[in-house]
Amino acid sequence: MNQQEILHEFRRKVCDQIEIEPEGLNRYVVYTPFQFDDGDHFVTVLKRQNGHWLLSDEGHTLMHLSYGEFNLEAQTRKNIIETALEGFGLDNASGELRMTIRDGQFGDSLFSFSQALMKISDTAYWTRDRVASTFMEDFRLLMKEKFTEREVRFDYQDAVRDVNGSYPVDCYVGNGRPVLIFGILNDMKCVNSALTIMKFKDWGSRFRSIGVFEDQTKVAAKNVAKFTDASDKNFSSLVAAQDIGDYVGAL
Amino acid sequence: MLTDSEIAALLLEPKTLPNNWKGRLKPRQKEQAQHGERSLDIPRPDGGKFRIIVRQNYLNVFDFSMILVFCAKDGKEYRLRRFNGRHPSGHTNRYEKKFGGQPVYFRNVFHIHTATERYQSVNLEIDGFAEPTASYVDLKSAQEAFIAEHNFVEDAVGYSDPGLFDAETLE
Repeated sequence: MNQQEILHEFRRKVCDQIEIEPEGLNRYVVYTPFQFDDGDHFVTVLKRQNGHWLLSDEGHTLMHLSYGEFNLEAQTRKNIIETALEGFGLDNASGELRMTIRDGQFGDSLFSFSQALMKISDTAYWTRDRVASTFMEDFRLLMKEKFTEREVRFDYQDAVRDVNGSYPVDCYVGNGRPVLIFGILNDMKCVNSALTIMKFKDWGSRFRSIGVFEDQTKVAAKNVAKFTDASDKNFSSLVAAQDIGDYVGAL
Repeated sequence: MLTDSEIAALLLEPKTLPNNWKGRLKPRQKEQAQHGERSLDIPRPDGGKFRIIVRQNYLNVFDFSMILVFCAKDGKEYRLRRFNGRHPSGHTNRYEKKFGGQPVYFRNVFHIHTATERYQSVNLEIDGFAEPTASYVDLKSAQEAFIAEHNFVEDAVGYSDPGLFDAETLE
């Protein structure tokens, strides 16, 4: 199939706005009208590798979606992306999304490839909307990532003084002076976390305490103030908390 | 929402870089991704900060991004400027397409995204407006242009950012 025939197939199966332009050896840029929400269009490249034609985003999609807060490893998001890839027949080659074209089905392949990219880019919208279901996943992933040399326990409770688990701690960082870290999604969690810190102080525990807000601007100022009075440090968002490992390491 | 005059003032505001800024902006490979990323925070004297984010695609050296983010005191973040590489696809200025203005569409060229009041006013991405540029040809020259255009100055007394912030609030 030559370039004109491939273009005809793309247009027939997807839409008339498709264009193709050769760029490099055995590599064609496929221009489609499909866009991210900032107006940049999806990257689709048709290239020949090991005797096969394939469509690739050359790693652009996940890079475009990563403004620091899009974490591919968050389980909910990961599941959606994997489902999209599986459902539309794409492979994720360590961040490069690609699809081998079989039996000369260029048009059908571009259709599925574009659908998958749309589905994946949709996850960015709810990333930015900070859907609560992913916040604690993202929080835990960040703690695991930042404290690889320390003991990290999630949903920690004082086994002696708090047998009922009335004062839970989202993340306990041990091996050294303990650090109690709270993921704060809303006003209630903010106040409860402040109470937990005060209770640990009542018990005479020696520790540091940190709050990581999902979005501090969404929590009432009076509640932020209560937490600030009780804790040693606040991070206004997960993005702001990227330096938490360095911060704790310097204590 | 930031007004155009606020955006212009933020872009022109002097920003002091630590003297190790080049090393701190060298992208690091991200897990499960074909790109590297790095960021650097620049504190503002009256609160809040600027953040520079650098991203580089390792499968296509022309595909990169240098982003200037304004982090307000209230925790809100605004992307002010984005020096993009030449990713192999197009860009549509959605506001201009709908309401008129130029450019509406271009493709496969180095381009700069800029925050605007008009995009925010109709619930479009703050930096959805972009224009082609000839002021850089790769990440290195984009970084030089980015630093020059946004009034960044290296700290004369040799301030070196260790990657911490407000550590002095603890003992």
